[in-house]
Formats: sequence, structure tokens, C-alpha cells
Amino acid sequence: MGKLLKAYFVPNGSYLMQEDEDGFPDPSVDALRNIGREVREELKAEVVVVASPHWQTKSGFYVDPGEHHTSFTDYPLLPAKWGRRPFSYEADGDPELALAIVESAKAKGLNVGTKTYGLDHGAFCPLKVMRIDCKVIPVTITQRPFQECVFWGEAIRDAVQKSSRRAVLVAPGNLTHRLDLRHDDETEAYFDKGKQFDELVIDLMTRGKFQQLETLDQDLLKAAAPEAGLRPLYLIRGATGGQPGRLLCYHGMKYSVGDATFEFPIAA
Amino acid sequence: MAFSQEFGSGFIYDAKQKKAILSGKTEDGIEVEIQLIRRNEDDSHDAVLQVGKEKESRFVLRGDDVEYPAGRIQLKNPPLRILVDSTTAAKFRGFTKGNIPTPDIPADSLP
Repeated sequence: MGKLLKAYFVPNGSYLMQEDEDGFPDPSVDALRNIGREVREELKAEVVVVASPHWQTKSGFYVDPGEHHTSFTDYPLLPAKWGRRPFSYEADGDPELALAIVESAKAKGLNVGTKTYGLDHGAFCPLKVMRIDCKVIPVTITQRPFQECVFWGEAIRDAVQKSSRRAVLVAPGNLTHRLDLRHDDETEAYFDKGKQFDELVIDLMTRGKFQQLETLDQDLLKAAAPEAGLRPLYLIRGATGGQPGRLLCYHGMKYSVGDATFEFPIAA
Repeated sequence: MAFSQEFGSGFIYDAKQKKAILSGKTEDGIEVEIQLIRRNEDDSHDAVLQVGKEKESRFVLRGDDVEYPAGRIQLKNPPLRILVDSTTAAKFRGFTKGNIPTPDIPADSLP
């Protein structure tokens, strides 16, 4: 019998790959490397289901059932004269479990299907820094209603449990996500509403208060503009049963995004 | 390919206007621009096509209506072959399948 071992909420900014490659000190990079080590050496996961916050279909939920996945560059590249550095990543897929996730989601009444998509940076950036070398299944985060994202997480867990796989769920995303406010001289306190928002969500997640995400102050939510509307956390709620998370790293307001890294246990 | 030097790709996402723009050339060297101005509920896109100085035309773009022979984007309807670099083709392909890239022109909300 298969098992969903853990779920992770992680940052996905493309700069993390650059810092990782350059050896630039960054707690978020360290946290990703530590998660990767745990997934490979302690959990011994056979497959990672990764829900990119940049795969935002409107019509329904999708899984890429391919036997092999390659990445594509969906983030702005620096001009060539400034050292343009496109990154890449490849991983084998798991068609059998991918199709089982589709069937599991259908049983929950979700509009679900398959697409040949690959790995955008929202998926491959953290996996690359984590040095994930097992099978990978890309799935959508979508623009669907929050409750459907909870069911999507449940569907993923059910499919894994009915399989023979040891799996983890990686749901990347940022809390505050205001790239329009990016400045060279920014500090952690630069965008106070973003900081307030991040601290509030971190408090809720570490206490397992997922339901309170739905009642967040709308003005604060709008100001923070969290990536994918916090859907990665709704997905995690469904997949884990809403267990309290453990904050592994919070890097504050860097590049006007709230880089928080959590791990979530799975309810028995 | 007016913005490929600045943005590193012939495909950019303008989050302020919530639209994506593809820039390439026909095999005859004529400039082509496709603006994807709206993502519909079925994940198709309302698109505006400009080929050279011809009058712009509008069509609905579906992900399955595009093929990617080497170094090219092949639209089925309207039938048109566009030359682009591989980064641009992959970014365009991803967008037609539901990707919202990190915006080249950011805004205060996403997507």
C-alpha cells in the first residue's frame, strides 16, 4: 500500500537556482537542500507530485502523465550582456500514478484531465535546488474555487494510498507576491502589509487553522496578492487533512515576495 | 522581435494588461505579432494577429491547435508558420496550456 509521506510549501523564485549554483548564502536555499536530503535519504520517496503555482488552468485540474518531463523557461531572462542564465531540469514521470490521480479526482466530481505540459519554473526551480532525482508528476494548481483545490489534494492523497508508491507532495508558492514593488534597496520592513500578511498566514499554518484562510481580511489579501491566491495551501489542506505545519524558514520580504518554507505531516 | 533583446524571449507576459505577446517572423521574414488578450473559461485564448502591415485579425487560440516543428510555431487556424527561438516557442506553448509565467511587466496582482 502506498503512502503520502509529507507535504511541503516552498518558494519557487528563479533566483534561488542562481544562488544555489553560485553558492550565495540564502536560508531558503539551505531549507530546500535540507528538504531534498530528507526526501531522498530519510523518506526515500519514489515519486514527487508537484503542483506548480504557475500552472493555472481555469477549466479544471490537469495532470501530465508523461514518461519523461523537461523544463521550460517561463521567467524573465536577464539580457545577454548581464549574464543571461537559463536553467533546466529533467525528470522521469510516473504515468500509472498520474492516471490514478485523474481517476481519483473524477470520483470526487472534479473536472479533470491530462495535458502534456512539462515543468515550468514554479515546479522545477525548487526540485532542482532540492536535487530531486526520483520520478515526478506535474499537476495544476488551477484558478478553480478553493474548495475544489482541497478536494484536489484529497484526490492526490487517495490515489497515492491506493498505489504502491512512497510519495511526497510539493506545493510551491509565495505568501506575499508583489513583484511590482521590487526595488534594489528594499528591506524586510519595506512593505509592511506584506510582512503583516506573511506573519498572519505563518501563524495560521503553524496552528493548523486552514479554515481561517477563507476569512482573511480582504484588503490585506489584496495588498499581499499571494501567489495563486494561496491555493497551494488549500491543496495541502486536502492532502494532509489540515495538520499544523512546521515553519522551516521564513526569509522575510525578499524581492517583494514572502519566502516561507513549511513541512506538513499527513494525518493518519 | 522588438523585445527579445530586452526580455530574453520573443514571448512576454504583461501582468498590468493581463495579456501575453508573441513576436516572431514568417518564413519570408515578415514580422508577426500575436497578442493573447484574454484566457477564456475553457483555457482557450482570444487572440489578435498582426502580420506585417496587414490589417489585424482576431481568432480563438486553443492549445491543441498549435504544433511545434523545429524552431517554428505552426498555427492550424489561421494557417501560419512563425519562426521563433526555442525559449520563445516553449514559453508560448506553456502559456497555451495554462501557464502564467513570472510577468515581464509586473502588476499588483496575479494572474
